[in-house]
Amino acid sequence: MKIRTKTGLTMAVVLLCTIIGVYLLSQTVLTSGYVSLEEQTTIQDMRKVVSAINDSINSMDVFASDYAQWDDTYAFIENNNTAYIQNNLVDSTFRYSNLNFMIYVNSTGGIVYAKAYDQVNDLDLPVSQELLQMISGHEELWRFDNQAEHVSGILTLSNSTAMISSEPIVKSDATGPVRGAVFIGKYIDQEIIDDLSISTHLPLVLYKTDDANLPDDFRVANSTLSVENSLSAKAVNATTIGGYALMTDVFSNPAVIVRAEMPRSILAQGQTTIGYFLMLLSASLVIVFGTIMILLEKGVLSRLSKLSKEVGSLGDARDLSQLVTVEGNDEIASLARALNDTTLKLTKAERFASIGELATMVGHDLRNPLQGIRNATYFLRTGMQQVDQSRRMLDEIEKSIIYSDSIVRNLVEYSQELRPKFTRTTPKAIAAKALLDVGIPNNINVLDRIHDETEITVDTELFSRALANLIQNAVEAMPKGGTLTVENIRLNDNLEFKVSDTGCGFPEEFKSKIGNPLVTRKARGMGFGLAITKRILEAHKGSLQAESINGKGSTFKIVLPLTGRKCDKDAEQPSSSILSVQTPSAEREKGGERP
Amino acid sequence: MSERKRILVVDDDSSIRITISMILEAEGYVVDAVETGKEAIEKANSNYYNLALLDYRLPDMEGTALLSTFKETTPKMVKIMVTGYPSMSNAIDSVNRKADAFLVKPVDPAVLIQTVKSELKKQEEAQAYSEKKVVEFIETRIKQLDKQPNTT
Repeated sequence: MKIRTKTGLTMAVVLLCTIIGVYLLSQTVLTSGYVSLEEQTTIQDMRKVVSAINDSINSMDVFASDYAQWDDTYAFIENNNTAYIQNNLVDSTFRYSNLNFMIYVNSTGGIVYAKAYDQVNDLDLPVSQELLQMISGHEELWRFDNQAEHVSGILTLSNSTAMISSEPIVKSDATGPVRGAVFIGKYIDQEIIDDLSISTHLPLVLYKTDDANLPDDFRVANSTLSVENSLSAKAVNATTIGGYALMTDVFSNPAVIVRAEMPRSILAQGQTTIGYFLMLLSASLVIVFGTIMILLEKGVLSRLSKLSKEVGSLGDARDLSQLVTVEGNDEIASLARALNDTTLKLTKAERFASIGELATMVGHDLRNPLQGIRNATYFLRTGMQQVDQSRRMLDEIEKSIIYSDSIVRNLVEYSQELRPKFTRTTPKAIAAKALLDVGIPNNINVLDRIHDETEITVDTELFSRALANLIQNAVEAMPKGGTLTVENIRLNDNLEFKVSDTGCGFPEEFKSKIGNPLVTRKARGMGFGLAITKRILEAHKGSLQAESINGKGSTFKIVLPLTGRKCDKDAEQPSSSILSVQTPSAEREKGGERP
Repeated sequence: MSERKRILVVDDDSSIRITISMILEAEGYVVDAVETGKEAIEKANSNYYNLALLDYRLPDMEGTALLSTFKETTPKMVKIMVTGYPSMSNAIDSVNRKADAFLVKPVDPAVLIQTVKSELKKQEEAQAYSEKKVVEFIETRIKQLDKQPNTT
């Protein structure tokens, strides 16, 4: 995977993971914070609801106290005069004060007066027997020792719930002794609840704790709430939360549960805020990562890519002048600089190694003719020789000089650039010239099977030289004689020349090295013959192949493409020199001297 | 010199074979010159040679391989390596394969002749020493036999 793809993918994964991580964190930490805040607010609201109910009960206390602390009432509880009833306990009293019942109890628990009123139908009603029994059964509701005592709160009956207030009956100046109690109350009906809902701005629902039809959420609240822990809050659904308040009756027993349902506005606001936060965060991260990618692309990746291409072309071209470009003064520039330095050092080292290898080969190859010359001069200097011996020695000196000269010429020829000059000729003419150039010994039987006179466009001099080198090799491979076969065929737009011998052949491992300079199987020579042949063929877009049957001979094949090969002047570009050693004299002799 | 010493020259270069042969023949040696290792082995098997001059690089084998062969077949023949590859590894290889001398091309023919003469002299002395030892052994044995009472 490329660095660009890897970095992009990594950044995308990091971006996604960060956003998901922040989202999950906000859901667990922030949302739970909002839920907690929401519950606290709901409980706070429920305190207000309880407070509103208590305010209603307190207002009843004021009313009951007005009647109980009054000389007329003080007298009435004793004498039960009808004038008091006619003047004070009329329907309008109930209607305006929104009361459902008023009961006068004397100090012994006797009911002096009791009246109930239906606020809906404006009708007098008999007081519920259950209520009267409850009053007579619970003297704490009416027996007071002094005027400071009183009872108020919620009272639950079998079919109803009421807010009651019971005040001690004393004189108008608040002195006693206490003669009983004024016991008033109003049923908590839908109207009362609606009024409370309006005053608290909350939709309220009230159930008795022992109601057989208690809804599920009330049941849950009932099981969790207690006298000490009377308020709670619980989400009803995604958009609504319920606040619950447990209220006790005048006997301090759990009596009713009030529920107020509220929209979950805090959570909704919180989630909206988290949403905006996440969007902002995502946008910021995308911008940051985008910027990093752009910087990475411009500052590192594209430059690395360019560097990689340049290094690749360095290896292909072997052109020492084409080093990698150094831009800027950062780490990549340092890398490019170091690469250039190393390349130059390596090139220099390679050049020295090539020179060393070449010097060794040339040294050895020159030592033989030098030895011959030295032997001959020594022999001639002794003066003991006969005339024919002297002539023979001079011949050997000449042969050695010619051989030495060929070594130097091969070296120069290989190291200089090739500039093929394409002309029209025929395979037959090329083969004839090549065979003529090679001195074929008498013990070699030549089978020249090239009769092809179709025109081809090659550099006649160079191409026949390449063929001659193969023929020369074939001849040298058969020192004891044999058959040399030269032939040509046309195959798939290719022209093939084959040179076969009946020598010993060559081992398989030698095949891959064929055409490399300084690689030879001969005791003499430096392996330049095939190397030069290969270069000539490359200049013609051709190639060299070799097959061998060990002990039976070898076949070298030139494959020359007839199409797709430029033969115009554009093609007359010098082919690059494979040998990295270029002497100044080789440069001067550019143009190709035919040996 | 009671008889002419025989020398085998093994070198792939014809000029060297011809010139060295003529020089050594002028020095009074009988010289045979061959191009390849295979020819050298054949010659050494069919003729006796006091000394062989071996080129390091031959068309069909390394000169050191020839050294090993001659060590087995003709151990008493003096073997002189003449090489155009004067490397340390070649020299060590030659010494390990019991070359008697190691010369580097282009060698001064006077030095070559001197080396040949010196090696042949060593060979001659060794041979004389062996012969003397044999004579001494025989004489000692005869004396021992003479001292013993005739049991027959």
